[in-house]
Amino acid sequence: MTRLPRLRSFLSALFRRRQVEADMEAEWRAHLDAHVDALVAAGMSPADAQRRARMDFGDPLRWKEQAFDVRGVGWVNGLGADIRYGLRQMRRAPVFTVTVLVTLAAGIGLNTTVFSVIDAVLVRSLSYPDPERVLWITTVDRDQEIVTALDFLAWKEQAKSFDGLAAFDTGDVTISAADIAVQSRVTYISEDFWAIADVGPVLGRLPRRGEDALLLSHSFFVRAFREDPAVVGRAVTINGRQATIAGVLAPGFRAQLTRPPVWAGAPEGAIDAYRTLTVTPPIDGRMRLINVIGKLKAGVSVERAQAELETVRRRTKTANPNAQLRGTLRVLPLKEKIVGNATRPLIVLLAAVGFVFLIACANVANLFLARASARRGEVAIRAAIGAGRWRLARQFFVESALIAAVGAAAGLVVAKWSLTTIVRILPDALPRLQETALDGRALAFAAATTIAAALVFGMVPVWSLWRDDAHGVLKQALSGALPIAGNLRTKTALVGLEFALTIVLLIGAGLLIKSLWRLNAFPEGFHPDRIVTMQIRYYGPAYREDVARRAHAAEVLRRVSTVPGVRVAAMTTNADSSMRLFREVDRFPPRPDDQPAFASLTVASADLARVMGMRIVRGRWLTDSEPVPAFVINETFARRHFGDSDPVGARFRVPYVGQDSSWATVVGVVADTKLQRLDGPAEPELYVDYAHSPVFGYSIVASVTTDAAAAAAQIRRSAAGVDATVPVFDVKTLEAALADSIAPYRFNLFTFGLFAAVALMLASVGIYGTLAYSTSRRTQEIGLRLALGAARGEVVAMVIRQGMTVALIGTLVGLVIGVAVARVMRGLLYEVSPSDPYIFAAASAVLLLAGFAASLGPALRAATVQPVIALRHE
Amino acid sequence: MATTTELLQGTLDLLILKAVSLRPEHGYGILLRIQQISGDALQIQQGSLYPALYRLEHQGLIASEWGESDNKRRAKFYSLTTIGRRRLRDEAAYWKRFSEAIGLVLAAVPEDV
Repeated sequence: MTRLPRLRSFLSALFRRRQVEADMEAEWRAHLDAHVDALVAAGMSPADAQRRARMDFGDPLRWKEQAFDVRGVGWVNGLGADIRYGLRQMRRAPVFTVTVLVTLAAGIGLNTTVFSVIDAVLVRSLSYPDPERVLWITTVDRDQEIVTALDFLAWKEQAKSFDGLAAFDTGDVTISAADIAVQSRVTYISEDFWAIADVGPVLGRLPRRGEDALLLSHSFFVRAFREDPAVVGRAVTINGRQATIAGVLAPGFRAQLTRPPVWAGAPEGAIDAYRTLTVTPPIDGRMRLINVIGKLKAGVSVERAQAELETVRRRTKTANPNAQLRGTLRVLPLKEKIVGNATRPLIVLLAAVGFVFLIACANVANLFLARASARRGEVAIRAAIGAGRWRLARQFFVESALIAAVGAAAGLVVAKWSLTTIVRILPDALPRLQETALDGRALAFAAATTIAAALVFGMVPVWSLWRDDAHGVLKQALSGALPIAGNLRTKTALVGLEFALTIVLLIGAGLLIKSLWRLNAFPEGFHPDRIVTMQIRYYGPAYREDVARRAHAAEVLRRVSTVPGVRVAAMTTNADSSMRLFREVDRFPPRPDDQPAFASLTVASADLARVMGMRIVRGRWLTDSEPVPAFVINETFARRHFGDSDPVGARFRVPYVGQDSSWATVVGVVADTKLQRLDGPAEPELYVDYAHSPVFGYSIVASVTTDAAAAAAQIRRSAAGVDATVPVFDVKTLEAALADSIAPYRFNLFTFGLFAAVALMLASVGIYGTLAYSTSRRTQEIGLRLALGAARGEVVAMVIRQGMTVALIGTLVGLVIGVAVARVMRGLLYEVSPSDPYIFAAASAVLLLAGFAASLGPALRAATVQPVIALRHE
Repeated sequence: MATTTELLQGTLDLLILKAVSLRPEHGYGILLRIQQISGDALQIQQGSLYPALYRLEHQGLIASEWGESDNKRRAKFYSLTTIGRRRLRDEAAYWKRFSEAIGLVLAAVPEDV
């Protein structure tokens, strides 16, 4: 009941001060007038009465302050004074201020970055309505997750647990209209998807039932069609088949689906358009393989849905005894499928950034401790002239809050920068990475971190203030003999902690660097930086016949070979992972113990082995004029299917190779290469001569002796010159193409490397600061030592010894932690043991060297102390 | 008259509440009223009256309103609120007990001990 008037009078005193003052002055004038009237009535002269009245009233200014204080606004005005004082303090100690700001900016910025990434990737639900009901449905056969058309159609028809089931697949196509032909990535998706996702186009309409239609992504609409709304409703040709552009999706829309598996032949990247996928029953035994998502009906459990799908599957098997429905059913939330593999790297990353934050906090705490002891005199004086402890505590909290707020603002700039950088250079390193943003949640996180930091750092000086005996300190401060504060031990322990944490990060970064180095350890003779690759695709009636495609490719090869700087050129279907085809392989004569075999199939020309620097182990390589289909296999294939016996002369059959899939003979064996994925083990490979294998596109690879970038432009021109209607695209060095395949490693290394570098910098600043502080406090002692005959070298050694003792103990402790932490990182490494002794040694060396370098400055400064001046100072 | 500021503050509040409980008064009027009732025994420094008035108003014990004084001047009149009245009763009772106790102590003679 009394709250409201109080609040009102508080607020009006705070915000309507001028009006409240005017009101008071009017009241006091009336009071004086009344008093003067009374005095005059009592017989005083008006002038005397005026003087007397003022005297009786006293100092109006003083009453005015009190009048505001009683309304509870005194502390607000005090706070203003504290802030002004705090800003002055920041300006007066620029080195302290800048160091704290940089440290906080790094700590808060990097933490906010990792928070944003984890929030977007792991925490946040998918953008579907009722995201927990959207499931990934698949069958697992030999580690491959795929669904056959037969299963999908049966589920769709019979399963009752779902509101919708959608099939999808992703591939690269050429979209051509009247005047354009663009290479684009298309996701084929069945109509239920649009209901499950509950999205529609911003322009046009959704595809009609049974219509072959296309929905354009907004960026593709801008890029390929210059935002011309007239394209809606137009017919385009997709790989030679007609489809209608039904509409354009909203800017930023990105279907949250699984990434295409490696063998599907579509690398990561943005989806340009969505095309209707109509799943048809299998024709003459060949089945389309698709991916499936489904939305559960409300109230149906995942287990029940899975049991129902299982039942349907059994029925389908019985009804189609010849269909090969292999594999086991697997149903899980779609989100789990999409982000499952990203969990561990992100947890490691979170731990790493936590370490950086702890180091940053230790550093800032140290700086605040140092300043608190430097300001003990000032504090004692303020306490002596009447500032209460709470008043002083508030002052310190205001100062730390100010500095933390500025640091946090800088930290947000850091976070913005690092998020943008990560998304720009490694957009596909993690699923959903592109969804990261510095949004309200990230800001709230940064704010919480900042407030926590401000409270902790504000506590430091307050704590030492509470312990201090103000009287004693004051006496010493006035006599100029304030001793080294007892917190040196705390400071040293904090620096030791920083070193322990830093070595762990350095070890992590070292292990990742070695992994990347291993990944890039190519066999002799293979120089991906000097191999230019590009893609060619054939569409339309002119290239309907295989002969025409081969003739065009042969001409391209001939022209490319004559480009200056090109050593040798070849064609392949498998320059990088983008065109990978796994095919089932039958052996002739079949053996009873034969397991179904899969191999990656590459169509190759005669010079591919030379371009790629492949080593022929047995037999020979392919020629361009094989009379019958010929195979070359790699060592892994040979080992898996022939053991120690000689595979040359063995016969295989592969669908689509040769006339009517006739049998082909192995003519040679090559050593394993790492051309598909840098991080995987070698897989069985099968190379077949290009004369006998119809394909619809090639990669041209050319090894160059000159600058690859310059040669690439010329190679592209000469290739495109053969026939301008055939798109030539994706021109890059093989090195760049391979780097894309290890984006997750590069992401880990980028982030970890950044954290380790920041940690190293902070730890160096920490040890520098502590030593500089302790030597400056020991100036007189050092002066005395020098006066008594100590050599300057001894003083240098003494300070460095002091620094290195801390560094060494911290490093040793950190190595123990490092062994445990590195073990968690096992899954992130490639062919590197988590306890690699060289990495541990190298990390220790780097850290100790940094510690030594940071100790050198204060040590040398200590040695230049002039004994006379130092002693006179006392 | 009062010797310690502590005592004065509590006492001043009580005196103001009592003064405005008789009838609404402006600041100068409150001073005159207190002097008059106490037979000029209590003199209050004039300026210090106002912080006390504002505090009581802030606490909701008194309310103010601009009006016209006896000699036709604009002045701010203070009056007791409901909670102010309750507070005055409590404080007065407390003061009575307190002064009686002090009185008893001061009236003590050696024989009583």
